[in-house]
Amino acid sequence: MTTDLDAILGYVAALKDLDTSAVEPMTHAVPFDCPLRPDQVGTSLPIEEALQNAPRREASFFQVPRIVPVTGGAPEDEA
Amino acid sequence: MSADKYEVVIGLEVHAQLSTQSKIFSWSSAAFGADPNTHTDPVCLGLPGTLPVLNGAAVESAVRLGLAAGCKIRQRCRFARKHYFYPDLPKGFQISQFDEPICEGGAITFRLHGERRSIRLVRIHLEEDAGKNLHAAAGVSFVDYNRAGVPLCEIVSEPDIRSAEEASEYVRAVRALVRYLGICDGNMEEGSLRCDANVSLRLRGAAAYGTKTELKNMNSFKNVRDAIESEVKRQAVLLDRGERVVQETRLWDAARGMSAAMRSKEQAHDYRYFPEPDLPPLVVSDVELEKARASLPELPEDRFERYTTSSGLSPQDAGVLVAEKEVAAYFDAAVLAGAPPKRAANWLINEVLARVDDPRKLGAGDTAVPPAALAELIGLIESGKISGKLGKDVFTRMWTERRRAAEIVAAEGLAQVSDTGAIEEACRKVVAANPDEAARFRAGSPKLIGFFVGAVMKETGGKANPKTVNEILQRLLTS
Amino acid sequence: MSHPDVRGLSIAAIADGVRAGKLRARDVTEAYLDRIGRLDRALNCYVLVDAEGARRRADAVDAARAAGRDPGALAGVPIGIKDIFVTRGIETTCASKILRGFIPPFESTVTQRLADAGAVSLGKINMDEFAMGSSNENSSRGPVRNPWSLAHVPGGSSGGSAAAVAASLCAGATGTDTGGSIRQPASLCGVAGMKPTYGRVSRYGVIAFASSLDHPGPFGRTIEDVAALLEVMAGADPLDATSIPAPVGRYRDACRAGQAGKEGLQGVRVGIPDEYFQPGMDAEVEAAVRAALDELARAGAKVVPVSLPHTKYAIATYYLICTAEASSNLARYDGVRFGHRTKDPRTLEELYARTRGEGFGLEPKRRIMLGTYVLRAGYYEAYYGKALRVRRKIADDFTAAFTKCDAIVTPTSPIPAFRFGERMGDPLQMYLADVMTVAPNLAGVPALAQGCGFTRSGLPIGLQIIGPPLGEEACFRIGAAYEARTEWHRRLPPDPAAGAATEVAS
Repeated sequence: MTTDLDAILGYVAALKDLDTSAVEPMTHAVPFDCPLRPDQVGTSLPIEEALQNAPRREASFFQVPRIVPVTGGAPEDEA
Repeated sequence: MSADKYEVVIGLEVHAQLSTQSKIFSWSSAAFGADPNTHTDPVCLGLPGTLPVLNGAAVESAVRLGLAAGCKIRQRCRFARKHYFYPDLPKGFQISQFDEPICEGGAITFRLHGERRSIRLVRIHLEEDAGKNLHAAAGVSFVDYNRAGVPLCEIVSEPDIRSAEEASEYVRAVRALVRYLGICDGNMEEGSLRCDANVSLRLRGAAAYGTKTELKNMNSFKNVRDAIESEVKRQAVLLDRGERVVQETRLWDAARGMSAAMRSKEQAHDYRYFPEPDLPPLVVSDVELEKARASLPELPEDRFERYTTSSGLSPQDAGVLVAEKEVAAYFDAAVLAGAPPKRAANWLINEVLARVDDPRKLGAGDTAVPPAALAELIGLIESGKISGKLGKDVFTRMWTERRRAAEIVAAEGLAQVSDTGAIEEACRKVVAANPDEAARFRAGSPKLIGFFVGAVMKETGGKANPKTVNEILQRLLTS
Repeated sequence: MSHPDVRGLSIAAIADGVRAGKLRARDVTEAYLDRIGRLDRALNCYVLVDAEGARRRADAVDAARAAGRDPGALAGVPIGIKDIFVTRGIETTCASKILRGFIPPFESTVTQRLADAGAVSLGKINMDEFAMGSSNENSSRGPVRNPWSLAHVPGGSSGGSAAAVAASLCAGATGTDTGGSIRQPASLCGVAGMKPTYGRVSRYGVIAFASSLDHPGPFGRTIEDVAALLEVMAGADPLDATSIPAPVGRYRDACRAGQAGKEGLQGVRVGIPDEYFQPGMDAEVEAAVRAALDELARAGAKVVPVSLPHTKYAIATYYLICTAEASSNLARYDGVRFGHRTKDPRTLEELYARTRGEGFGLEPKRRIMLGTYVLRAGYYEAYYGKALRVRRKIADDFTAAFTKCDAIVTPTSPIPAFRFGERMGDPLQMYLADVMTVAPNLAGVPALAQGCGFTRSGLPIGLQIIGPPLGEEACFRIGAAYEARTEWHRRLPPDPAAGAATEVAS
């Protein structure tokens, strides 16, 4: 793992000396702007399909080990 | 009290759930209250291989909100991924905005004790909501993803707020704004408007900020106020004792009237923000900007100004009318139908609002006494056709029977008798029937006029114009 | 068996045959299923063979044709689907334990389009886990073997797709290319494959590795087959915000333009970048590619030197970006809604840590850790942010080069297929191997890989033709011209011996 992290540091070092002050970051390889979709409701998954892959389920819910948000007896759900 | 030596510094983050039809990045319904996990699709469930596609209505809402709050709209902004692990966050990251939010700057203005306050905003940005965790007994929790992907506008204020009360009024003002714009129903109990507070104290006059704590789980205006007051007290006690305030997140427990710290593990979080690669930069064109600007309704503060200046209403009354846009709309409609503003305000506040459990219902279009009907009633009183006292009774009947004033008055023959001849006759009759009282009046008991007016009103079945009765009696008794 | 002999059969031949009524889709499908049944044990290309589904689909094509309806441009063509494409009702695992048992309730756009065009999916194909790897040794379902030599790797991550096409276990296949994962296995297996322009093919339903670098694309035996598949796969998709709205090109026409006449490449300028012909390349590979360039010149092309000066930064840039994005894309595998879940977790922490620890193989774990490191707070500008800027410079290199040429030709891999376990051998060659393929992913430009020779020991050698953005036609024209003048694509690997079995990990 140490060699892998060294590799990252190596990559960073490799790029460090290249002057990139005159270029914009290339976050996307597409030249266009974000397309928008109309605000229309489509068909949701039937609940059985939504839950069909759940490793653990109970009735209509996905089940996980209990989430404990606070120490010492606090409110249930954070909003 | 020790808290006075400290200045309270509060910043608020308000999340407004946008009332779009569909979710922000996918096509499931964004409506509240459905059966669990029935408003899901592969995208909002974060299934492998799915991609977000941005809902144009969410963008529109954010732009209108930004314009209404006087923000600068970033015409080119980006989405970013905010990473953390939690069962209600399907992808293990939330698509939000980081260093290029859609709105920057701006302010929320409102009144506090008659004084105009303007709280500056840092930014407003778009993001997706998470699902909901429901806790059961016996070591398990349940997750419902209906809410996952519902669009949110996060409104971040500068730490300009200086009291718990001001914080509560700020949230009220934000709520009014989003409701006026029609972009959010502002329901704190249902969670469509949520508020977190950052609270710190510093000695008055100090330049540096104190350590702040974050307060969560305040789901009403009262809770906002109570929670912050409680936190201010708590911090003051610590500082007075020479102890330090720990930077932490605390959850408010309204039932217990106190807050408790979350486990510190959840605190320091590296969200590893980076630009969302699945969404190219969002551009808002000049045309779209102008269209949004043109679509803005009269905002609460402007309405308040108008009511207190040109309509001559008191700040208190104006405040009540402005608080809900449905009430203000009713008022405007009544004035448009001819009612004098002050009268309309009085009747609306004292009679109409007293009879509805939720002022927003006035917008439903099926009010028992619509604005035009109220204006008609007021008109009948103003023109002297019926007395003010009778007017209230008529209103009650209008409300329960859903009938117009003119109809009720005509049917019952309630028209105020202003015919001076008829009144004079009634007055003479009464004076003649009460010689002793008349003599005492003339001898120097002016208050007895009330006795005579009452008797005349009784004689005329309450229909005489009291002013006219008074004048005629005065003349008869002093001649 | 009355099945047609499908060994070496092209997509064009099958589709034309079925559409003309000369071939029954069912017969073709049975032939491939038969071959898979006999030969895939040795190669391990398929992780799931959907025989019943394939027969149903083939029958439907035959029925459509018989009823006089259009059976589709790819009527009856048996296809292998890399197990990174989500298929409704059919297990999709990305060759990872963490997705074992995942039955998607939706279909990827690519597989839907192929099915709508009448193609017959034979099943899901083996790959490096989560597309991370270049040898198909990183699969939780066992390695895929190179049909040209069972002791050698097929390349990766789409190793199974390349090998299946090479061994005629399907007529065409889908793959994905994030840093070379279509082109490199294509060249190591002697078939053709294309990484299109970024956004040309929808990523909806393609399980994400590195979102800004992932490119779904086709494999085929011939250039025209690749073109035919791409015409169906490509096109705008409202479900992918990064998919390009521009209309799909006429790729088969571009092929024919290249095939026409003795000098089909008259007027075409082919660029050769210095930086891709460095010492350390296998001598036979270099010789084969240079010979190919001579052939292109004989076909009328003008070969010109070009420079891609920032090539040397491509690896660093690639790894900083792809590990960061991978660490993000793999965050959703948590045992809550799908896939593997650790047994009886007592806390949330145990759920996450154990599920992911048990479910991910070594390579995904490595990349997640590296990516998390790259993105940590305070280091964005120096690491990921910096890489994004260098990426722009690499893309600008291509833009500048394409003012001087119509396409750039380079080797795909500096070495032919290596033996299993041998990868860690020569660090210089490892470096060169990645450097030749990653730059087009960073820039988003299209690149077509095809065979251009064999080593003395019989292992395939391939070249790649890189075009400008949305310049797939240029790639196809040149590729088809070269193919028309050579015979490499007609050479077939021997069928694995009847008893040969590969160790298949379950």
